[in-house]
Amino acid sequence: MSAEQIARALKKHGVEIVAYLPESWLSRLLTLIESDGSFKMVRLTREEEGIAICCGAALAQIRSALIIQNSGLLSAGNTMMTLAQAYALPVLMLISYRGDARDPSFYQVPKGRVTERVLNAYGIPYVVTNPLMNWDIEIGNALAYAEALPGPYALLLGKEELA
Amino acid sequence: MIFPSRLDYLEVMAEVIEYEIVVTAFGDATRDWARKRPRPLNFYMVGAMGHAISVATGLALALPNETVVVCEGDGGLLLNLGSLVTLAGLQIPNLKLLLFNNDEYESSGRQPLPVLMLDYEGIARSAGIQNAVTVTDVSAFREVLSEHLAISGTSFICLRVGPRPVPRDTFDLHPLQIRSEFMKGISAARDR
Repeated sequence: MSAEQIARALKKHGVEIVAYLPESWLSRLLTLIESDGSFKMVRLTREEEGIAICCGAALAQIRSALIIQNSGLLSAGNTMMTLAQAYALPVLMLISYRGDARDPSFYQVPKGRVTERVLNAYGIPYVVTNPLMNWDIEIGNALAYAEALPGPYALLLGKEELA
Repeated sequence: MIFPSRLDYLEVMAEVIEYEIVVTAFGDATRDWARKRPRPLNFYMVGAMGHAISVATGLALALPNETVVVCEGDGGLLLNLGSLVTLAGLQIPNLKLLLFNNDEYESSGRQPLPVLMLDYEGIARSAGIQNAVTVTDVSAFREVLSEHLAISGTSFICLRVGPRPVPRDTFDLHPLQIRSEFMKGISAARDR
């Protein structure tokens, strides 16, 4: 039941704003977060604007999280660099990791095969998660890490973690 | 009809603005406002074209007791038109959007937008921002801005902008410097 633990951890660690673009793997987590009722939910029309919204929150020293698929990561590069990176603003991204070795569908693989290389090229630290993680510690550390950088930081989540 | 320049509108804004947070889009909005009214509560964007509205949205959500004014250009808005829908979906009471509509990418050398004379007010209204108005002169702007700052609700003011009368200023603040000044400004505002 990782999704419950992730949702609980976000709340416990003071995340107030959650910006998201839905995706099937993320659907359960998003439902849990939305139904909790304590988060300010931002329904995005495009992932890149979510980076900028989280940057706005960071300027006010309010914790936020961006929840998107890796497709959105691939289309959000400019704002990750010219805003989050340039202004040194923490942005925690929870990203469903489609198309890696655990998700060998032909329409996801074009994204999965480059996701980590893109993060490396942008110089964005990340963790590929696994279902055995302690999500309280993991989310707490991820928020602290993004703030210590300060800059964008990504958790790449597999299907099991989002179950 | 000759519309006022951006500088004319910013002159009015400098008179009306007091404690509001102001976010300015990359390009001439940042340059002109930084020259016109430098203050700690200004957040100058020097990149991420098209994302000033989104930064302002994050700020307005995070700081519900502050009013956030964002200055975006028509070219910037078109680069991220969905941000208007995201904003409308949130119905944030404390965000006021000023759209500088000159039908061109002025900062890069006055190249025209793909379509001129778009009905931006209509776009904002159809997205769900009911407080939407178009302004073509500075006295109307003075009135509308004061009125929109006083009411609760997301507001959208489309300013029809004419050509720039003077060469533009340079702008050389580093993002880390902007961030530092602005965050200090916000802390001070919170203690107010």
